[in-house]
Amino acid sequence: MSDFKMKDIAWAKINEDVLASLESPRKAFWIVLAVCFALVLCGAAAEIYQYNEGLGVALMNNPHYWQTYISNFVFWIGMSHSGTLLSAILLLTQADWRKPIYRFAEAMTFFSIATAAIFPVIHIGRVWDMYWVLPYPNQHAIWPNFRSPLLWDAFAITTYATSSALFLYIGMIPDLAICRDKAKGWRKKLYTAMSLGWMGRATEWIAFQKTYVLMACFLVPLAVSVHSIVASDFAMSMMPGWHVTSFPPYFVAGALYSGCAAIITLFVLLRYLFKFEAYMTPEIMDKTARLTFAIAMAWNFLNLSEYASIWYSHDMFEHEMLIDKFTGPYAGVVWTMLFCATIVPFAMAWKKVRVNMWAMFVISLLIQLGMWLERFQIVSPPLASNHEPWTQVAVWPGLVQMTITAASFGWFTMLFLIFCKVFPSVSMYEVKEMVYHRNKHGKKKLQDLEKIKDDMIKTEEGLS
Amino acid sequence: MSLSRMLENWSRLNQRDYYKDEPIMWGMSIDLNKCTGCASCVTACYAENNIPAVGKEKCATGHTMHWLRIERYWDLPESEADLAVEESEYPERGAHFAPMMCQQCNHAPCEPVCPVAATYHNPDGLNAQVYNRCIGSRYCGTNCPFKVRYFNFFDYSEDIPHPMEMLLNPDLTVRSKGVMEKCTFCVQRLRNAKGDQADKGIRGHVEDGAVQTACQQSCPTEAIVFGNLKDSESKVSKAWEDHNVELNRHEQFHEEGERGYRVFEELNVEPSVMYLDRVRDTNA
Amino acid sequence: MSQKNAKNELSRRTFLKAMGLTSAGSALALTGCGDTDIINQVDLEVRKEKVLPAVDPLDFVRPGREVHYASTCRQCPANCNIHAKTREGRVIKLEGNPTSSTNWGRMCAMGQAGLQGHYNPDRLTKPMVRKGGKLVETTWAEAETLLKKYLGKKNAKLAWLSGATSGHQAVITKAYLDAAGSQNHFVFDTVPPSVGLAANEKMFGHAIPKYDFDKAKLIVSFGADFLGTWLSPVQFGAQYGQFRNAPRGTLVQIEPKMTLTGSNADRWIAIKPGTEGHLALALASLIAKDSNFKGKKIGNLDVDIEATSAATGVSIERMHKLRDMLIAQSPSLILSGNSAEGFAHGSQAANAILMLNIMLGNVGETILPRSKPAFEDLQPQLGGWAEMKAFIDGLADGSFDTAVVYGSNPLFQAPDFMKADEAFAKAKMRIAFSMFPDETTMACDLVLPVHSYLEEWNTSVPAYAADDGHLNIQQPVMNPVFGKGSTYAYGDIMLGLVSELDATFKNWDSYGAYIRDALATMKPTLVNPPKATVAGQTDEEGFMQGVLAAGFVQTKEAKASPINAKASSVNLPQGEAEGGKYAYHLVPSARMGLYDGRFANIPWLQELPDQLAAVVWDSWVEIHPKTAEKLGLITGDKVKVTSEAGSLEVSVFVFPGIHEETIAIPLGQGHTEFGRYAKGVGVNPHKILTPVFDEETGELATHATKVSITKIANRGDVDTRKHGDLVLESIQTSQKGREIVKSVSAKDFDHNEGEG
Repeated sequence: MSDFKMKDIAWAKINEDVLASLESPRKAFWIVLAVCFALVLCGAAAEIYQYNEGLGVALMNNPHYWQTYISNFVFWIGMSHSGTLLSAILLLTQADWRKPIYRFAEAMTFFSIATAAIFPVIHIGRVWDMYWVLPYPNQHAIWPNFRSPLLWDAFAITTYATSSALFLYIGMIPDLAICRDKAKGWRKKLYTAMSLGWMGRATEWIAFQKTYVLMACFLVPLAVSVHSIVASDFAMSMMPGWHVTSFPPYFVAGALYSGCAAIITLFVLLRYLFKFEAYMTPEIMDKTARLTFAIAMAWNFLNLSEYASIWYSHDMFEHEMLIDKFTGPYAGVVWTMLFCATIVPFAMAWKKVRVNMWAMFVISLLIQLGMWLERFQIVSPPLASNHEPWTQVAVWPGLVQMTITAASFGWFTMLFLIFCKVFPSVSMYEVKEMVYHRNKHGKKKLQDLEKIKDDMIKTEEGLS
Repeated sequence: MSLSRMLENWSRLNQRDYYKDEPIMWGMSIDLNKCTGCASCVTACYAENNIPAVGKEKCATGHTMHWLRIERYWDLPESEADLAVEESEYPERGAHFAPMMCQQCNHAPCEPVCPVAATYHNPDGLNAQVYNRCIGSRYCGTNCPFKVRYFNFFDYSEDIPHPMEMLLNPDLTVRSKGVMEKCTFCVQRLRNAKGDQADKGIRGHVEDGAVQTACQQSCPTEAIVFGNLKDSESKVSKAWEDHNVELNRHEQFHEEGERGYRVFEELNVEPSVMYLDRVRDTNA
Repeated sequence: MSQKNAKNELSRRTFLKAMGLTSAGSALALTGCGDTDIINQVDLEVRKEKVLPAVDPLDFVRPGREVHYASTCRQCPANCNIHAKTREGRVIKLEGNPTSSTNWGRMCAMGQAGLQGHYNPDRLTKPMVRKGGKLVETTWAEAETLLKKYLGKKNAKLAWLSGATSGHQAVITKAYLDAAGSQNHFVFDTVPPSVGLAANEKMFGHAIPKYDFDKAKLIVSFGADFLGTWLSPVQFGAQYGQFRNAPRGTLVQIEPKMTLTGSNADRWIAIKPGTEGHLALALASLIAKDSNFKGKKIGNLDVDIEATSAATGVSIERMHKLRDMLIAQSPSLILSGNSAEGFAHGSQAANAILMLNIMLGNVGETILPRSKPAFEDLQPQLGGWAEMKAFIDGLADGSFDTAVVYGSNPLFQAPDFMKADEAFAKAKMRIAFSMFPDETTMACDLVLPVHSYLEEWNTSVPAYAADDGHLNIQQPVMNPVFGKGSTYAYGDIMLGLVSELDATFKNWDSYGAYIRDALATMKPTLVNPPKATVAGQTDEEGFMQGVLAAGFVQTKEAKASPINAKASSVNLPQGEAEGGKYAYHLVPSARMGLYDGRFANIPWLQELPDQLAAVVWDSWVEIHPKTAEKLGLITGDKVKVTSEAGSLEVSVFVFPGIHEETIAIPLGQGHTEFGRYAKGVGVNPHKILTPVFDEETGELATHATKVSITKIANRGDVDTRKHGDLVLESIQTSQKGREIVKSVSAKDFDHNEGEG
């Protein structure tokens, strides 16, 4: 390995830079981590209080049986989609600009699922019996209800969490091997165990690439199905405003949208905290922003077509719900959502904005706020204008719900930052590939995978 | 083997009229011509079904547990345009009262969405809630168009001061924190009545009037009629017949003056509770 | 008669279970005063619920099997007959007695909630005595010594205040007072319409004649909330159910604040408070002049219709319509209720209203005579404000030195101007027989905790008996909740007291024995007295078992002679006295639920949303939307309601069913004592009533107070169920186009569902 590296100074630089991120981040890193940890502690306290007293302290009630725990769940599941998108779809479409940023996007996928998975636990009334949703054989011969979208959720999320974890891990193996060679102490042990004895042989690379592409092929439809299933939690119900046929594509688009915004946020954050200026370049940001813009338009189209289909449906309940959304107690939420998620992305039409890191940071945060509110306005306003007028009332999430929501952001960021500190958050080998190809072929378009493989094998043969 | 049983039941589960061969289908008729909104049924329900009073704070946050509530409206629905109401600053035709409890839908929206099948349709046509299976996902509550499911957001039974716990009805449970509950048509009384019949060797038939729900029993004006819809001689099935309301029909085609309807019939949820139109003398 | 369809739904099984007690005499262990009988062979120890197996249990007491005892609900003076369902020796549900003509097996919310009074955690369990200015718990031995010291002697200055009373409870109270040489028995109950009853008495010869709602084709009620709080709501509710069958009767309700009855009316007419009598006179005049009217014209009916219309706020067209209906829909029934009678001219208004019945020939049709009661002493005494005033005045001027209160709460009910607390403080000895630490009880020197009505023997007569001679029997349905020696029956204590003074009462060693003996003595006067049904039973045993299982007896009554109605001339004031700065009429409205405040310690009833306002756990002031707009008020704002006699701070509820110049504050809240559920909740509108009395009867004019309103705080939150401090069950008033309650016209209804 060491010989291999010495042949190219630039490659060595990559290793140094990336490995440096494991050692000496900026001071701000520790501040952000501490803030996140404090948030998590607050959330834990809120959850303990809620667990002891009962869910009523979260101020949910009849008819607001679902509120921010569900909207957070949808939000975090949605966010996870960007990682899959960048990594798998762009891998399959051979967009090489993804390479410096796909690793953290994949990590983001996994950690946002890890965050999302907490919410059902917080949400349900009798968490100690939660395993009953799983179809395990038991002497009572009681099965879960296979007709329930919540059960589908349970399957979808476990599958998606497992696959995305595997995808992240497999993609990291070559880099773990690099780390192993450099690390000392407990890190050495960790990387040795996790790199599974990777030696960088051509046969290993062939197997690796096959697995990786296969995983990508599997993950793309899976990601789409997962969010479609989450959408069916709503679409399969009878509630006006939930019972919408176009919800699955709408949810998938929304997921990609908020996920891309999250990537931009973390892009700027990592670039600053770990001094990745050389890798996470404005050009890559430009491409990411363009992609985000395209998805934003798709999402807006689906959003408007949902309104239109309700408007032209002549269904009394749906009409009332729609009008209440824009004029009722939650109107502020809906209008803010529309501003953040529909108006703000048009700023990305200008290149100047697209390459300005801090502008993009602000825009991405606004879009995420908008998308969080979008999930909230899917859940709450329809419940406040449900079928039964006598029960119609607005309910705002209380302190407990908001603390736990804030804690979920803390939890996610904390896990993510710890990951970046322990594992290489920029894919060293893929960046090297990129550099290699750019050196070799100039700015020409990347060759197909077979070609890369041939090159690799040749290089390896030359070495031995 | 449970898996094979599940597969066996799967096709039955998707039948439209799953329990059509069962001898009992509990149903109700509520005559809004007679209902005065006095709410004695509400308190009777509290007493019969161990429903906790939650206090002012929890009422404010919407945690009231009344399985049966009286809805009171002031406006005139469109269908009443012919009731000759002139402009007035007072509600001169009085209020509109609707006792609203679980409608025991036969195509219940709450049933398919429960992840653990804690709510299911029992052979007597009741929408049963199995408290100790419930994990509290509250999906059923959001999906109920009548919003008549009530969730135990707190452990109310712990707050009962001595000696008030003595009035709890031992025939049914005191629900714990984290489970959903709702009107059961006083299922403990129904089971008792069926059991008494079984003692006599009679199965599948409960004499009309041998069992009353608590709300029906207390109603001063006899607005509530309860019984077996499959028994063509029962008062309730006669009422359904008189007013031309049928199960398995999502729109009732009325002859003029037939007053029966089911709330939100257009949702095709097949409620087992029929309401009869409120009546006002337009000549007065 | 009216109950043609209201036949009971009692199945054989329930009936068998309703079998009451066999004679429990053998199990009696009695001392001079106190100690009721052992009813169930199951003993409940506080907090342990230890079940003691009986060696030879009575065969109807079985674990897991419910036992029904027939008894009587004593929550309000209506006294419905009940079946108390018990399990393992404790009562768990109250149900109506289907064989009783008082309530036909039905019950109201207040009756259902009797359980929570019975099992109330704030019930008094130990006697209390005032030592050094404070009430401290004491032993029954000490309490009994004190009781004998103060009440075990002749005392002409003894004043006794009871709540509405009847039956043997009234008899033994009277016996004691007679023996003690006191003439000062006062009865006070807030809600019974004492003015109207006096007017009835004068006009029809019966304070409460029989009413046949079902036969009436038209009921015009001037503020009589017969579905909510008027006399016997369950009885009238059952009759109302029949009344609404095809051919459907029409209900017109005329009142300033919509009551539960008003909300069910075919036409609800808002009227300016205090002008109900004027409207009745105008109607009488219109009817008399109408060519279609063939009936008897009464007196001089020269009324200025236009002036009446202006004064009442009821349009002339509406009056004409009413006239036409009253003439066409005969027989009708015209009722007068509290909101028409609570004025200085209340009796006159009631006369004017009731007179319509005579004119329209309703007497003998829908208003029926009663027979002269066989046992006058057992008849209900509903009392009224005049007696309350006499009680307070007597205490204030020192005519009484000892005050005893049972079943009434004068310190809570009396308006501030009566200065009841000051007068009460003047008595040398104040004694309360009480279940709860209410305002009056806590102001007493000696407090004796008594049994609830589910723990004691008694008899009573319903305020409105559907059948003459109806005598309710009350039996203990379980052992005392707090165990033996904690609480005692009022009757037992009274029996102990009276036997100190009158040796004839030493014949009975318990009040239960006294009641049973009295019933046995009455046997020859009863209609169909029960006989022995089981082999080996003596006739006495069979009789007693039958009577207890039935829950009531019927005494033979003479045939009622027809009512000879006498209309007296009506003298109503012309024009209203200028209110000055007090622009609004105050209606202190009683409602089905908290009633007059005696149920404020029952959580079920506190949480039962007001039928019309949907408010829970609070007091509120109802204000018409137009008035509210004028004053800049919305639901949840806090206002100060001020009368000449005082002021209250209360939350606003904007409510369409109230006359524009009127505001209403419901009764029931505003307790300063009365346990955890009631204390400190809401306000009591009675407190600010002004000293106006009915000129004829001397009853307090409860509806004559005028008030002003000033805003003191804006509400905060708007979208939730909480409006300021006010908590609503629902904030919605509209069906929003849904067809949850659909309506049809009575014409179509009669056409399709008419009989024949």
